[in-house]
Amino acid sequence: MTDRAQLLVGGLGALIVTAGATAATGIPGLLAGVLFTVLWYVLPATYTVAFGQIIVAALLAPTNAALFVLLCEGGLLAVLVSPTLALDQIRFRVLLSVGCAVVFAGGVWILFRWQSSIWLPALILTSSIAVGIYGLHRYDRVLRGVVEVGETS
Amino acid sequence: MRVTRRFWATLGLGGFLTVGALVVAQPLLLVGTAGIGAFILAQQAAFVRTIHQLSDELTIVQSVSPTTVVAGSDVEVVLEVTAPSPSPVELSISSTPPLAAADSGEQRKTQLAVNDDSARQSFRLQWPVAGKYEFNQATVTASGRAGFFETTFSKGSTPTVTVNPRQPRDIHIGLGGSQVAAPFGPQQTNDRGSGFDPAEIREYVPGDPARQIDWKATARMDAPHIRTFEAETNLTTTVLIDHRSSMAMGDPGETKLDYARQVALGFIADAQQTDSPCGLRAVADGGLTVQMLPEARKEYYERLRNTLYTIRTGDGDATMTYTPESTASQAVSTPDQARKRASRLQNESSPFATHLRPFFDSTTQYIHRINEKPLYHTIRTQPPRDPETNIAVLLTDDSNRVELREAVKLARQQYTQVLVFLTPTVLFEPGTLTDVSTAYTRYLDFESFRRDLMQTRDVTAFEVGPQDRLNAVLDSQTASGRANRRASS
Repeated sequence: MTDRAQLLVGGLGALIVTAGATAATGIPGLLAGVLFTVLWYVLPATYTVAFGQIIVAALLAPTNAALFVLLCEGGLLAVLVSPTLALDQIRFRVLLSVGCAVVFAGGVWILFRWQSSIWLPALILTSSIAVGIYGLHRYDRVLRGVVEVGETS
Repeated sequence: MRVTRRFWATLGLGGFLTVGALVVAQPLLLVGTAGIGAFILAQQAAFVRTIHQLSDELTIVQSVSPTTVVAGSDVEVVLEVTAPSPSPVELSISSTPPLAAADSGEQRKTQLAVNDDSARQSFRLQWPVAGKYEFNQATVTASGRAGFFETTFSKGSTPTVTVNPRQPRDIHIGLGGSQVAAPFGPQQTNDRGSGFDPAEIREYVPGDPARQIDWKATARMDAPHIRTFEAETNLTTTVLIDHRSSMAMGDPGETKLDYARQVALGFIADAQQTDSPCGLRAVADGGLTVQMLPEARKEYYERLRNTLYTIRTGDGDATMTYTPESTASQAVSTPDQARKRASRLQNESSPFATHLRPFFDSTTQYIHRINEKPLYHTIRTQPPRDPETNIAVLLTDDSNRVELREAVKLARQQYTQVLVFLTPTVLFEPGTLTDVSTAYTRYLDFESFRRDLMQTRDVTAFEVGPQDRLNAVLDSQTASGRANRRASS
């Protein structure tokens, strides 16, 4: 994969988000979509995705258009993974990113529907991410033999 | 593994979405946090995989040339990095030499860019202190391509450098190419006194102490006889070392001066062993630089040694202002004396005076020339207190032959024995061994000069130099002689 693939997938994601927002909310969605596309072009993908998520939450959530929300989330996911297409281990990165995102988002949604509270899913999500990052850090140390047997920290 | 500012910025973005979700009670914002968190985790997992693979497959070699050096010399270090496949991340590999190595200011690290599979960097290090030093493994710093993580690990060979002190090895001290085991041994005094070794039995003369009468000899000879013994005395050694510019010739740590210094150290050690007084004088281009009168104290021997180690070739800081016309020894004609004698001859018109006058003119010039030489001047102006028990050890080279010849003659008048240790220039000049036949001819010339010095009574001249180079010069002649004999037969 090359920078061209990165541009193609990212652009497609931005187009999907713009189209979904426009279809769901009309002119405001179109304006937000255009702004999103501009940001995608000039900012790192994670910042663009954060902005896109705010658009989805602000414009699409009140409409209860679940299909368009899912469409926009798909577009945001495409924008999020597009930078990895220019890196090594593309399949590993894309699969892990998409897989983790789906698991995390699904878990959040299930917990929210079950508890009707946002606090528990937020707590579990952030804890899971923190544990995941720290776990990988420890795994790296074990792989490189830096951790002594019986060491606790 | 370390995280970068970009990592914290992205994580902060996720935190911002989470807080926003809690504030506005909007779970969709948490989906954004989930996506960003998943993205970071995926990048971290990929980075761990890459680094683990790289740390297994990367080959890092630190090679050092030469591995054995003398202190102060340069060592070339080559850092080579090879990866079996193009590197997926950017690597910075830095060599970590021992702390004792002096930095030459050169770059000690190399970069392996993305998609490169090899890199190389060479630099020089200097080792001011002797010892055995082992390099640490090279330090590899890898930065993930997503820009979230970086890590450092050690890998590669750990070469060792042996740094020897700056002193010559394989020293040859000898006569005409033959090694002498002990150039400095028991000394005869030819004096009679209260020793243990019998010298002679002679007839009693008035004034001899009665306790010296040998009664058995007296009974046998029917006249009073006394037995005399070899007198025991502590010989005083005065080491005079030449550290003028010509003594700087040779490889670092193996210069003429380094060899001369080793011999001087041997004499000091010998003097310490026998509790004999030992002194030191050093002569540089500007004149006398060290003047340590003979003494026989343990701490004094240590001072002598320390002083010897501090001597460097060149001008030095003369401790004595060098004035050729200063205190003249009675044993040698000064330019003034020569002038007086010449002026007396000027007034005479006899054929003898006419014939002799030109010789006095040239003698004046000659004495002028010799007097201006620091080695000769030092010997002339610094005579020993007790010439009968003093031995002079001259450590110099064959660069100033005229001066040395005169200096040795003068020293012999002032000391009971003179030992001259010469470092032949031919054995120290760089590149002399490329033409061994010329080197051999020059060595013969040196040998002739050395023998010439030994013509003076109680003067012994030794050659001092590297054994391997001397062998190379002598062996070449043996080989060519064999070839000539084969050709003639």
